[in-house]
Amino acid sequence: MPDDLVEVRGTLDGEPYHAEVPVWASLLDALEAAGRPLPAGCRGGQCGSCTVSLDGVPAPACVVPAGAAAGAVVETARRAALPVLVEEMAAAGATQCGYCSPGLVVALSHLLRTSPAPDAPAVREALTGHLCRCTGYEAIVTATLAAAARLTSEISSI
Amino acid sequence: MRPDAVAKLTGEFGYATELHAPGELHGATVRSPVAAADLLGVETAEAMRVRGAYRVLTIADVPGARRVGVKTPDQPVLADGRVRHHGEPIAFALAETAEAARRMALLVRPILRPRPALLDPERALDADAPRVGPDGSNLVHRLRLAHGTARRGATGVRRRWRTGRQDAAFLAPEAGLALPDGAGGVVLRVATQDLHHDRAQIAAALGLPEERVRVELAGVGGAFGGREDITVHVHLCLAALLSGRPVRALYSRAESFGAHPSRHPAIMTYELTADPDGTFVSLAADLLFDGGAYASTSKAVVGVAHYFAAGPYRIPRVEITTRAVYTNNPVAGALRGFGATQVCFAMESTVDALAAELGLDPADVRRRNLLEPGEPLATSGQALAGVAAPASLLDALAAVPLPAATPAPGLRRGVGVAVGIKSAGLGDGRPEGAGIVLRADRHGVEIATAAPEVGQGVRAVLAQIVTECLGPVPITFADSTSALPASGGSKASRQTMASGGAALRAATRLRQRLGGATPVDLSALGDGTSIVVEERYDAPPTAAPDPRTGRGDPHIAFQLTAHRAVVDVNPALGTARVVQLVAAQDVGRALNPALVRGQLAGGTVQGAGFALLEEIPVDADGRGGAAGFGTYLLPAAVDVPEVIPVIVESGDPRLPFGAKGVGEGPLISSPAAVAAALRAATGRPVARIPAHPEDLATSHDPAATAPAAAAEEPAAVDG
Ligand code: FES
Ligand code: FES
Repeated sequence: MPDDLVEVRGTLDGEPYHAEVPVWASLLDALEAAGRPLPAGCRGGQCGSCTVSLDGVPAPACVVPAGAAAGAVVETARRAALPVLVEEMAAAGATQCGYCSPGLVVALSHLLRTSPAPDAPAVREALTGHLCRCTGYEAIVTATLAAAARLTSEISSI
Repeated sequence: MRPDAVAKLTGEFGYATELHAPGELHGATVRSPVAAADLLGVETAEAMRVRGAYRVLTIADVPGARRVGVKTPDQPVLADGRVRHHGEPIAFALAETAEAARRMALLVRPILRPRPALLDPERALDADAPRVGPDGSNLVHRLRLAHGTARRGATGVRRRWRTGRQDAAFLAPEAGLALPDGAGGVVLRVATQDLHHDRAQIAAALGLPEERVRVELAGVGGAFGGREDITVHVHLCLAALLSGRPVRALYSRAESFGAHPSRHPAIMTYELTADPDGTFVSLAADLLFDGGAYASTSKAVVGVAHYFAAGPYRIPRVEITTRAVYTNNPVAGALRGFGATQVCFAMESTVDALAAELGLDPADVRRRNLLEPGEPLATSGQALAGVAAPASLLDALAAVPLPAATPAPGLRRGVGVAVGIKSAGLGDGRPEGAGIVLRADRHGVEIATAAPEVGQGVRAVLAQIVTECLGPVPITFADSTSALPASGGSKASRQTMASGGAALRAATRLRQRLGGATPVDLSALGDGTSIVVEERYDAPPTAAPDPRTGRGDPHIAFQLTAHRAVVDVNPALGTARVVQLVAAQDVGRALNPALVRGQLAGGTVQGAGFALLEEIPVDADGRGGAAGFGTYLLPAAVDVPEVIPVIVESGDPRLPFGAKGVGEGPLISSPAAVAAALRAATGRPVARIPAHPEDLATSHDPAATAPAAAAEEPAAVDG
């Protein structure tokens, strides 16, 4: 391996992955090199479209140094998505072009796992760092609240 | 539900930004560092020393037409002896890695001899202005109409309004992958709004017949008009043909901001007069749109601005002059709202100013003057047909309660209302149709359409139309490519009508072939048997207005919209927060209410962004651009806490299902409503959007709290 490359190994959506990337590369670059590109609207930590769950916490992959993510458990929306949230968002029209969607789903799934009954302002607050150009956010918020209500009723009916 | 929803939400959906092919080269664009210069040469030696360098393409490598353009072929594929705007593509660097291509692009040295730059659109038509336009003139297009008696009302206002340079700011930057087809032709996978328009421009530049160029739709991360013009297209195809290898390119966010046309900055002078009871008597308007260095869609944009400059109002005397000019500023072109957004801001702001001058309630003034269905538009004279009464949209807004919570101490609340109108569909005598192919076998129905799914949900609408006609059959979609019958672009809010109309015809014919009953019985088809139906829909013909009088029937249908905005302003800081936005729109018939609500909410928020945040700055030397979303600010979720779409349905009997396009409406009147709310909160004139903090701060400037004193122009004119 040429000396300006680093090797990154970790877990991606439950499977081991590895990539060789330049020392300055981001986790986003490493995932691309591993054949798992993500939507990336800015590559500068400003839009949230590349958000992944990094050891259980949402983070924009484009500003996480690849080396710092070595050994971490990385989950994209494929694995981190709460199915009820996906159902509610699909039904509400909360995705249009969809470029923001996987990142939003990672962030909102985390919100619903950690704070089961958020109100609308809390959902909007959780979207800090995420831009959506298409939806105006309204359907995203409605769907998240609907998913939260379903989760709460599932819990209380046990 | 949209067929792509789950794949998009879970990250399975593929986008143009993610395309790769084995053996690919990477391209990076060399762009002009200045607004105006002669290009004497392009030095590439240093760039070619980068490890992995492959080649640098310049205009000399273009075998066919050197100039292309979505409407007017005036834009060089790569700079041809001259650069006319900052960021203009000069060369295309190819390398084995994206990083090497980027390094090469930094090291390619264009040899430039500066020329005086024309940056002020108001100087563009001066005799001594630098010449930017292709044939020595800086006029892209001029329109004029004047009719009615010369009477003026007793009271009038004259105002000058300006709008800024808004960007489409779709979230996925431009990207594409071109592949040689092995037989001298090329395949381009790209995010676009119009496969066939792209193909025509690519083929022209490559000097190939159109059949040798195949454009395939890759996943589109938003468009809004910003993907009507070509960007990466010819560069990639040329590189693939010359290298014999796949070539990919991906713009950075900063590059994307300058790479596609923005909304036209406009300077609009409006003079509106009325009788003492508020009945409008005359409107004189002068509209100047800065088209930037190339024509793009300017001619069509100012056509829309011109014919909707008077809004949906009854005005006996109108006199309107509209011009689009060339300058050395960044190129302006299509963006959702397409000229109607700017004039709505100007007209509605003028109506509010006149109401204030008359001492009347602006809502009453609007109601007194709004057209009834069937009445002629003040500009073209075309009857306002197939719409709800414009005043009914004001009723729909009023039915939504205002926010219950009062503003925080120290903030001033303002409420503003605006009404907007624009055509749906191209109109203006242009052919307006779409083709579609349906293929049924025992497993379901495949829809083959060239109508680009750009996020708006056209595929959901087509699937719904087909299943409404055939019953609940499984629907799949063929890839959208330029080899399919042309559908026209995803623009001008037209696909529900055009491709939707074609889908209805095709499904109806398919049902006949399957026995005529709904639901159809596909199991009757034998294994390996399929039925293929190709159909097209053509909208009722229109005609361009008479160029001398401006009269005629250029429009197919109308989008009618109204907004109410509630904002809180901090008078000391001049900062504003949106509290609530209500959007009411006559959509004809909402085929898919969730999609329609999404269009209304999304467009409304883009409009609020335009009124408050979004602007591509251009410096004194004509250098425009934004480094990223830290400088070009998009509304975030917390910035628009409550957006309420209200669907008004008044089916247009001339359209399939009575459904009008809805895409642009929500971005016509929302900036104007926010501006009106800002004025109500501050008493300041707010003569431009986006409004800057200094336009809104009041407490340190006692003179500014009296609106009349702060107006840029005298408030009253003699009647
Ligand atoms: S691409 Fe990572 S935050 Fe925008
Ligand atoms: S759906 Fe397009 S950016 Fe959010």
